[in-house]
Amino acid sequence: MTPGSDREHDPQLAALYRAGTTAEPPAHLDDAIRAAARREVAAGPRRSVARRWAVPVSLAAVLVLSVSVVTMMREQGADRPESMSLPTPETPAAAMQSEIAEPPAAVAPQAAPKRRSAMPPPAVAPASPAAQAEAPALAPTPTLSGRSAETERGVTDSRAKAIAAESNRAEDPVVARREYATPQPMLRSAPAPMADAAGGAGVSASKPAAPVGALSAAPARTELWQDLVKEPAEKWIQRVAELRRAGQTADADALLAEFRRRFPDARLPDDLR
Amino acid sequence: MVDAVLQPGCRYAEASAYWHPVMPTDADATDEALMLGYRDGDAAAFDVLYSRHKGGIYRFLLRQCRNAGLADELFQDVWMNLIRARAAYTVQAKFSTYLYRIAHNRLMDHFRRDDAGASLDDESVSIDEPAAPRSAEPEVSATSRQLAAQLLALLNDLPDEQREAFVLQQEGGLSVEEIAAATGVNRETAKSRLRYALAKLRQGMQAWQ
Repeated sequence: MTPGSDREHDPQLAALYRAGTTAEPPAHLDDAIRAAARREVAAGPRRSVARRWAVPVSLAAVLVLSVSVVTMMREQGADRPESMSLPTPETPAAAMQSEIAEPPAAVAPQAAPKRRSAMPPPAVAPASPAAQAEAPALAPTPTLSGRSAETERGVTDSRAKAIAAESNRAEDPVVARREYATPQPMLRSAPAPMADAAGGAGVSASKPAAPVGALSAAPARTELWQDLVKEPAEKWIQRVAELRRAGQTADADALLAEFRRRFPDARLPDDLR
Repeated sequence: MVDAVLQPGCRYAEASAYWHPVMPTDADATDEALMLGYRDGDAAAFDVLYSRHKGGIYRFLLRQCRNAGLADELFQDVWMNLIRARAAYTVQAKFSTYLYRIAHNRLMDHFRRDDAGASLDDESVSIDEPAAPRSAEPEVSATSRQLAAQLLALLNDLPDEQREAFVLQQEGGLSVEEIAAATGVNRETAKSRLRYALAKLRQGMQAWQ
């Protein structure tokens, strides 16, 4: 018909095609689509369901967790009144220090502020600069700026001594035997309050997981793509492929449908078509 | 330097490749500028876009699914997909390529979902081509109408991929590269399909004449 024309374009065929094909969409479709386009603009930027619920759900989860942790801590505190009446446990280093020998006079008051923040300040703290000048080595001011290099050195010395004493005790068979034979509840088995709190938090994170678990036990479909909302199309396709491989066909189909909704022009790999 | 009148929110960098220095809602504005305008809240820009492409998209779907009722449904879906995806639109290709890719994907979804790849070859369905001619020029003679009808008959006999390549070229004005992008194949495949389609149509028309 047109032997001289381009192999990928034929004007005569194109003209014939245009003359022969006349179909147009029905008028009611035109109206419906234009109205939908206007509605979409009037509605403004739409937030996805996942985004809409992300903040309230996370707030609720934080609240539930916090309440559970506090409740658990209170319950554990009420269950053990005897532990509350016991004297405040010392840190292992300080306890060992008191066991072994009398520390130098300058070291004892320096180590005290390091033990616990709740402990009262040293009673011998000087009230005036004059007194401070009289006995600077005995009672340094407990402020951070007042911690001089000497004080730091003193604490370091005491720690070094404690560690050395500990290693000596471990090497001494008599002492080691006595330690294993005699239980030391305060130092070994009784947890420090902070450790207790940490343990309580650990328990409460696993124990009162029921409300949180209930949320995740019946996940909404939106959770399938909640973490993919801002990801590119490739990540979505990768997730769909993973779900398919894992045999979760329903989830894969749901994710694929959402993917289609968000990326209508994206190209799917052959195995997902 | 051209003084381009930018619509509020229309990013010049995004539209630079296709930017036309007119208001997006003008009839002369590029498709890409119109789509960016619609993305940024200009509903009138959509009307212009829709008027430009509705016929081509509808006929493309009709030729591929060969059922007027189904073509209506798919046509509406394609435009609704475009409307829903407007917020994420950025100019990465020619708008017509983007739009026909949406249409192609929607067709593929339909065939996959219904497992109806065979429905393309179902002889029972028919294209309800409206009788009203696109142009009512008197010079469109009865002979040329017969030729056009013969061409459409030959077109229907083409394999789906070849027919799709030809219709995309005619209705969307897509180049070989754009046909490849819209259908998700490489350039050589698209070119081969188009060449086969044209060769068969030419051969068929020669035999008929």
